[in-house]
Amino acid sequence: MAEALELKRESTGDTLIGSLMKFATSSVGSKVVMALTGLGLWLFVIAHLAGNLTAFAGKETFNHYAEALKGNPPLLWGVRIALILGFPIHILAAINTSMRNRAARPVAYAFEPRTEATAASKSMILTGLLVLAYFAFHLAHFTWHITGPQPTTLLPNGSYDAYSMLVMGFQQPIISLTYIVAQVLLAAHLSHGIYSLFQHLGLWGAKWTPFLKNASLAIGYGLCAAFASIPLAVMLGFIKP
Amino acid sequence: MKLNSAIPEGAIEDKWRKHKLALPLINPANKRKYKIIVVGTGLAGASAAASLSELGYQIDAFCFQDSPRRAHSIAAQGGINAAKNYQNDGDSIRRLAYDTVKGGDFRAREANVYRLAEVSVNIIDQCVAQGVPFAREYGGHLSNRSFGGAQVSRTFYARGQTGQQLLIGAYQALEKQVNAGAVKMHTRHEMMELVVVDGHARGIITRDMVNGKVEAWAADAVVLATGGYGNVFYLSTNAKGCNVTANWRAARKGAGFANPCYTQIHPTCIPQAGDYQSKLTLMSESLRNDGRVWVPKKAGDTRSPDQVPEDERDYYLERKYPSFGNLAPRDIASRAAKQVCDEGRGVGPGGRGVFLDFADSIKRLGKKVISERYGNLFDMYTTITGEDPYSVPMRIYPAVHYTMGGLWVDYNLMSNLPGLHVLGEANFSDHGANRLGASALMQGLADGYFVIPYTIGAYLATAKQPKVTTDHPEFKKAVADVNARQAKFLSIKGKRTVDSFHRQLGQLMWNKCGMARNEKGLKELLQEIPALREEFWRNVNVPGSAESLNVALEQAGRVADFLEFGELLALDALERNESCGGHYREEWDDEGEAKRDDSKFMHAAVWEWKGEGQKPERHVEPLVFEAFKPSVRSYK
Amino acid sequence: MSGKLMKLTIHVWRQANKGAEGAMKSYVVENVSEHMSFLEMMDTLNEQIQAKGEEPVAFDHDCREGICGMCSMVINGIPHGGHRGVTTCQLHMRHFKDGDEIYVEPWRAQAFPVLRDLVVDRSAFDRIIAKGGYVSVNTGGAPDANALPIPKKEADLAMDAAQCIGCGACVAACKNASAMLFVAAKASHLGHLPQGQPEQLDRVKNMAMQMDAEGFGNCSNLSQCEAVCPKEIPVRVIAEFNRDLIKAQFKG
Ligand SMILES: Cc1cc2nc3c(=O)[nH]c(=O)nc-3n(C[C@H](O)[C@H](O)[C@H](O)COP(=O)(O)OP(=O)(O)OC[C@H]3O[C@@H](n4cnc5c(N)ncnc54)[C@H](O)[C@@H]3O)c2cc1C
Ligand code: FES
Repeated sequence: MAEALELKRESTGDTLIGSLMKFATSSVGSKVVMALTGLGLWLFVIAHLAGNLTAFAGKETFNHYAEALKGNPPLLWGVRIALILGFPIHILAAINTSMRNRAARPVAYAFEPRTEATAASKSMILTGLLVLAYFAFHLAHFTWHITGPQPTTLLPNGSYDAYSMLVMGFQQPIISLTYIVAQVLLAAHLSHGIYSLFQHLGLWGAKWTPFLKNASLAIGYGLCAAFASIPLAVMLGFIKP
Repeated sequence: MKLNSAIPEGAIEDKWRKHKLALPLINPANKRKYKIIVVGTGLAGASAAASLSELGYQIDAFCFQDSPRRAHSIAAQGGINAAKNYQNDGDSIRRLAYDTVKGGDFRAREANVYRLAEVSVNIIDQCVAQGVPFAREYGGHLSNRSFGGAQVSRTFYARGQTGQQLLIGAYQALEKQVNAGAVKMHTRHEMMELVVVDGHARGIITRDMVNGKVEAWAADAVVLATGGYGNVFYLSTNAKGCNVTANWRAARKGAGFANPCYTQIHPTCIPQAGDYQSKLTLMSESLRNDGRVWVPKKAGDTRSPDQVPEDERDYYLERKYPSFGNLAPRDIASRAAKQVCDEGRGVGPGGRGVFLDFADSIKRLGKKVISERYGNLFDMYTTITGEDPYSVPMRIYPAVHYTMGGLWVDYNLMSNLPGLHVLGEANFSDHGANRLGASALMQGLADGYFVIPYTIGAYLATAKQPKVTTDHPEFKKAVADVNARQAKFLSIKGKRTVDSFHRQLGQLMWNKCGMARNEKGLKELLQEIPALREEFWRNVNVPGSAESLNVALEQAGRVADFLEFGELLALDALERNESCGGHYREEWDDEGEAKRDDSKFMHAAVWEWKGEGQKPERHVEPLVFEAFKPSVRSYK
Repeated sequence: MSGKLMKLTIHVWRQANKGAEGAMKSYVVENVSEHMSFLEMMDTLNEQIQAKGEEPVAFDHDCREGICGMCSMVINGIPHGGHRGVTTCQLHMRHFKDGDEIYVEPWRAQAFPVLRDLVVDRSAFDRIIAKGGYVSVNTGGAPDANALPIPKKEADLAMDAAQCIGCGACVAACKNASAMLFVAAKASHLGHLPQGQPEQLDRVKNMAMQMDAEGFGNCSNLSQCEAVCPKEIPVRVIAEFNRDLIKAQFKG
């Protein structure tokens, strides 16, 4: 018996870091990496939304929030670094898994079945890529100020008038529309992603499956609605310049 | 043929203990030098292969499925007996042994049976240690039920999948040893021949079922655990792949075949639906606890069951066996069903079926309770028949289920061919003429985990045979024989498929050597089988080549063996001119019950192959009952 | 006796051997009774094919009652044909109608190479089990079975997972050909029992490693495996497996 055990426990002789790296590139491990980075990105989305919603409280509050963020470099850079790392790692892990998946099913079925799986769950790569593309555009517009209408005057205190930029942007239907579409895509991604991350991290018990699936859906589209409420409010005139 | 049962001396309670002490041992370092071939990895084979390799022997294990986990043992539903007496209801080793001997109609070797009961308790311990998820009570202890008419609750079970869970336990133990490099597992390998060198079993010839390669394997001993031969009847509850080939090839090489006519017919199976039927599905016997069996009183009554008023129904089991009623033993319930169907009172398409009606129980206990007890069985019935047993009575009919006969073995589970050991359903040893429910699983695991690891060492320590390799002429010859036989199948290019021969053989066997047998029918059968066999070798069509995965060729080999073996079965049934257990000769009837003739047949019949076209020779091993007194089985 | 009769067109994958090119081939089967099982329909087809001197369609099967896990056909794109809790051998023809066209294909996965027609090599599953899908206990010397009470709830959870028949439908259904449901079911079976606990972390680690080495894909949580599993094993076992595997990275 001892013999059997010896043989089974082939020790890899790896250090903790080494073995963690190995795990991170394994099939379950890369999903865990995706889940963790996904979790980070999801939290970012929530924080971002919370900030955005201050737009409903008017120009001052919103600009105050934007200032506060800018005036706090550790927080700002923390978030930025998290994003700079989180995004690529999330994407690398996605590439790793989808390559493995392609290789695992080299021959397709002749008969394409109808399945119960949701469209969202089957198009994570697509929604992910589209959201990524939008993210670039979004940065160009709101962060780097290279596209979209930009306010020409600074605030009395000399800082940038983020509120006006927001309103000006969303007054353009095409910008609002892309924004809303991007939110729907993000919602689709999250509606499966949130459930998935709980599953990959093994964070729930048997009873919770249906609940989690529904919650994931609700959270995804809830976030979407909250985000979309801002351009809508601008266009409908609830949020005024 | 020399038949030395090698039963140890002494009182029945002491035999095994003393025998174990007396068996010569092999020192651990030397065990590594011995190679053992295990054919079959069902409960018996997997448990043996794992246990023997743990002791240090080198094991080559074979099965024809794509994984050892799929052996036919997987299909056992009901449970496994053990004399644990956890329920405090008076069970004991002695009682389990007695029930088994009596259930077998006093046609089993009592010393083997007693040992079986003795090690039964270890089986449960072993299985729990392996992680077999037996059913448990709320207190966390193991749950038991009473099964197959037993008067105590000694059956352990895992939902309706006991065989599956036990086999997975044994399979996992086997894979543990595969990982340790101690067992080499050869799946999709079919044993085609046994190789005997200087009178000892020294190896086998296999066919790799994927690429057709015929290979020879040499060893110091061979263990066959290849299951039962119920498929000689074509339709049975056995898996489609169950076959007699391994056993039959061994018999042709000199191993005695004991009591082939002992076959068990299970009363609660789903009736045949059409000519295309490929197998029959067992419905657990437990259904008879709450279902009432009936047929219309009038012959040819085709009204739907709800149209037949109470007083026009015949609850024939309750009528004939008032004390056991619907729980009458398997053989009795089966024959009673046949009888009413023969009278033209059978129900359903073809008139071969009786009702198993839950209406009363549903009224009494409520649908919920019934569904808790039998929900998955009812679902299974619905899946197969498309009918809903909650509203329409089930239809059931007996079907071939288990074969008590098998290769003859002594107390050490060794056949008359030294070195050839036979375990599980493949041997004849423990169930006599009729097997009790939940005892086959027990026997398979007893043989594999707790008997063979002791006894095979004694053979190896004393046999002192020189090492042989597959270069030995006997191996070469056996390989050539296998190749020639395959070439022959492929060259016939006749008109009929292999399957059509198998079906026809099955029908012949079932009609004349099934639930009831008589001299006239058996004599006819003994003419018909050779004729069919002759046609087979002239008119079978086996397409394809031997060098590839060829299902028709695989089947041809098995059916060819059934065509020889079926004749032996019929011959044994003819010569056993008495009724006992599952062997019911109409001439020997005591008001519908099997009437034994102890004066002439208190023995095991062991058949020796004498060559093609020769009548096999019948030998006997007298059965002596010292511990248990033969009595008449009565269930009235 | 034979019920309603149907005429069907069967498109089935034919492939001579492991290396060979395969293709879908079409056959017409007549006189299919609604009471036949799917495999009996295939038997009937094979009788017809053989009558024409062709080799029968090879397919795996044994128990024909849904427990051995041998039968393995993708029927109209769904492993085992898409009826809850039913294997191919238990699927009955009453679910089809006269004139239907049915596509029958083998399990598709890199790790399950086709050996011939509908027969695939699933030995990868055995190799995964060999890496730790057991309790390392030898025969003999086990304590009394009732010495260690196991809460009924845990025993039931173990049994839910232990019911797996190892057919591989989960892999066949998964767009990534992932074996997670199979592997996690074994880990869940043993992990819920005190006997299996001591080795659980090593078990999941070693089985996961072998699973990757065999070339199975990742789990994308589409639950297609659960949908086709003839024993209805829930995907919760996958979450349990992931949890144990993460734990194993730090404690194992
Ligand atoms: C439907 C059903 C329900 C049952 N229920 C119960 C029950 O509740 N309780 C109970 O005690 N018993 C039950 N039985 C009986 C019991 O399941 C069997 O008797 C027992 O499992 C046989 O085990 P075994 O190991 O001897 O053979 P098997 O499990 O049949 O294994 C045979 C092995 O031999 C291999 N093999 C066969 N021929 C060859 C060959 N030529 N070459 C290579 N390998 C070969 C096979 O691959 C397989 O591995 C039931 C039987 C049936 C049919
Ligand atoms: S043939 Fe055994 S599960 Fe289908």
